[in-house]
Amino acid sequence: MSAEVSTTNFTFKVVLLGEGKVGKTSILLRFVHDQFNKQHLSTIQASFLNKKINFEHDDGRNCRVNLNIWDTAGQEMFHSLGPIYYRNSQGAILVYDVSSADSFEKIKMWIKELKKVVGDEIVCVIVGNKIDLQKEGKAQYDPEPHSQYAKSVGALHFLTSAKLNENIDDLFLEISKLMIKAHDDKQQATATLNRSNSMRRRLRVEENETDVNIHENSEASNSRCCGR
Amino acid sequence: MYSLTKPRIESLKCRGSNCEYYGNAQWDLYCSKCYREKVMRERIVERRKVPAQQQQQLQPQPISHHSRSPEPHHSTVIINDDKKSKKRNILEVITFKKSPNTASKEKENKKSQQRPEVRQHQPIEANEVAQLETLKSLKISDRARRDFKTLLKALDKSIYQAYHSNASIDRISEIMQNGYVRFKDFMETKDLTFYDVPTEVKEQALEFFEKCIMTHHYKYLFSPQNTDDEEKDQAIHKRIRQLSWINAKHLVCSIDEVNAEVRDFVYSSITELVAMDSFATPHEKLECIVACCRNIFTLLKQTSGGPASADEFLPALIFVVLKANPIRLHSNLNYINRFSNATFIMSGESGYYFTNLCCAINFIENLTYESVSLTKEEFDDLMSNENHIHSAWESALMACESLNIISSNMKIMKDLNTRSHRFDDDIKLFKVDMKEFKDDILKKVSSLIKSKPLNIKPIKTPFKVRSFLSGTGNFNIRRSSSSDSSSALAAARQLKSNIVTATVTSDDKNLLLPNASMDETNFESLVQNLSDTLQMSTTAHGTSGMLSTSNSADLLSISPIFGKPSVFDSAITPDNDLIKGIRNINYDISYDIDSPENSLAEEIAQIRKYTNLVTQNTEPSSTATMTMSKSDLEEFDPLMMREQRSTNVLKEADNLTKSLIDDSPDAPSLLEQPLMPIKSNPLAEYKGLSSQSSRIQTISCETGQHSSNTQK
Repeated sequence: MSAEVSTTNFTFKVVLLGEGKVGKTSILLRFVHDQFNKQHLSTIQASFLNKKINFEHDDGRNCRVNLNIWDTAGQEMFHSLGPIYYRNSQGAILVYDVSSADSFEKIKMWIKELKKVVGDEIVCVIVGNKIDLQKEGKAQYDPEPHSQYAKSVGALHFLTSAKLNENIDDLFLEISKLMIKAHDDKQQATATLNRSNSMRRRLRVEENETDVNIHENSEASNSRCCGR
Repeated sequence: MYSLTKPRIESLKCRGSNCEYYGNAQWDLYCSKCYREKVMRERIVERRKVPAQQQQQLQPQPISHHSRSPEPHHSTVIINDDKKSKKRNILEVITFKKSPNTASKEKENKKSQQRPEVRQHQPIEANEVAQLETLKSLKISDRARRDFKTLLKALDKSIYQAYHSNASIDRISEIMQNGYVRFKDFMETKDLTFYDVPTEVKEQALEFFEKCIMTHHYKYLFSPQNTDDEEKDQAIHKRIRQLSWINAKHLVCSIDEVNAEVRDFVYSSITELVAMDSFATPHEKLECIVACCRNIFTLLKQTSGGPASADEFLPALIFVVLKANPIRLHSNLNYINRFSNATFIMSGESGYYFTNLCCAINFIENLTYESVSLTKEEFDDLMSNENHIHSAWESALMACESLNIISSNMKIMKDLNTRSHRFDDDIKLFKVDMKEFKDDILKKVSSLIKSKPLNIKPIKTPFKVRSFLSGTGNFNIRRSSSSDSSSALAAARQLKSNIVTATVTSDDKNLLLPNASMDETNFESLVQNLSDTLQMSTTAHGTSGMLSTSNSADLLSISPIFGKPSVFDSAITPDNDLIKGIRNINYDISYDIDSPENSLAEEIAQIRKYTNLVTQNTEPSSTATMTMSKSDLEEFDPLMMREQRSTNVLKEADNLTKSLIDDSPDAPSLLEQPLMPIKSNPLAEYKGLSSQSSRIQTISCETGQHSSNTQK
């Protein structure tokens, strides 16, 4: 994450969480391939996708964000696997179906779990998908309580339609900005260590300062770290 | 099973080097001779026998096969030759599939015995040699290479020390991770040796860096003693065996177990997953996982018709893991987790798949009756009666396997059948074609035979023909001139007009015309001599044979022509189409014109006047080419030269031929025009057809030149 002269590069991992059939994959495909009907897609898989987005950040920086978006299995029986997915990720997009109250209850569960496992390390965004159903009159939905809930847990709330391509790009743009902000905050917190793209290393840093310091001094003392 | 057939067939052969005999199971799949040799050698060397399977797979140069100690091979294979070791693994998978009920446990025991044994014997020198070669092949500068080695040695040393100071595996993992980061930073630091190296080479270097370290320390760092990796391996292995009753429905996954194509994909995924254990470096292991998952995605894409989402992928992966039951699963995953370059397992495709595999294993470990939507009783029942229900998938698998073999054989048979049908059809077609071709050829031949005799004869028997011509021509003309000179003249004129329209370059005309003047002296006497004999021969030939009759008929028919131009015309016109025919007639006609010149002065005077006229008409256009023509012709036609140099003995004959051809000058020359856009080429062609024709040409040309000069 070395700062270039004009553009700053970021790589973020974002997980898509949510109950099955709420449209996680559709959001992903709409964002990455701009396709809704997946029959027409030539890609082999739609569960792990990369997308680079370029935008000018509010503070004037040119940002190039490489998003690694990981889809997760939403079935109830795989719920316990969540932590394996979202460890080391910088962002989580929690998707629910606006026509299903149950799916929102799941979101609440996810949020709780996320707070417990990763705390504030992760940027959360709550997304109500399938708003096209409401427009077509197939579902009645009042977004107000959901927005309030999102505010209460410090998460952004989006209403999207993967089918009609509404708000999808905004969603990813906003979460990118949030993640950049979180990243910057973290960098300030650990100002002495500016290599921080690996969670693993960060953890190690906290454990053994000395080791990392040796590392910082780099090639000069190769054997010191183990002779320590 | 698709992968079963090949090894089975191969395994029938004796495994001895270059041995064409079939092996026997009693003799470890050697033929009797090779087996005896092998046993003898083993007694002498007293080496432990390496499992035969590996020996076969891993020894590519079988010449010294029996005597060679297997250890160096294994080491090189494992370290350098990924494909080879992969192959071996596939083979192991096959054995697993052959007898899935019993093999897996045995296999594990067997492997845990084999592998360490194999790896213990890795000579480090061989490793290093191979690694040095790889290092050389990296496209980096020598200095970079030196730096690479320095970093490598430093990390190698620190890991070695850490291991021998009984540091925890996590500590070593840290060292390793630090080593990666350091190396990466080193490569990206400005003004250092690696800075301007392209990114791919950097990636290669990093991969190679990992490979060097990890292959070197594999035996210590894989499933190390002071961890519970091995127990976990055993536990998960047992667990998966217990769960063997789980099918796709339990997992709500879309894998169709009965479909052959789907099963093939499942098998290849299983193969990849099992192969993971055989690689020494974390990166290679990760690649196996990636390959396995890609297969699953391909499979899911086929069944669902679009790219699969995680909702479909994870159950499928769990299914594959359950059916593969890869050995030392935990050890492998921990090994990857500890020693792989962190970026690979944190991000990117490999990271995603690795995470999913971890999820799958986590799910399997924590699987309860709820997760597979069964009641507790059902679940317990299934778990306890493992052997009983065990066979659900496996019996299906076995049945499918045999069915698959049957169907594949059926396919082959069908293919062969269609091919043989096609072959038969082709044969029939070919027969018809042959017949048609035969008929066609016959037709052509017969038509040629019909049309050709006229052409060939006069050329083939030129001497005779000439004599005929001279004889009959003289005779005719004499007769005609005496009886009706005006009609003869008219006929000649008509003929000429016909001919002129059709024919020859001015060269030829010019060449031919003057012949008369040259021959004037001796022509008359010769012709008169010949005319008698020829007339005799014509009558004789008339009955004798096809060729001669046609000739004579032709020739004879001309005599009345002069008297009756209409007949003459009709006789000529059909031949005009055929060049050779034209030639035949030309002889006659031209003869008619010239011979009177020689023999009957008065009438000739008229005719000659006419010929001169013709030549004059044609000459203007040809004067330029004329002058050239002689040299051209001489150059191109050796026969002409030879003719010129002909001896006195042949002189008479020459004269005769000359005179005969000189006769033709006007007419043939005129007739030949369409044939002769280029002067020299037609000559060559004629030469090719028969020596006579060429001879005729050359002579006529030569004389023509001569006479043209005289004319001038």
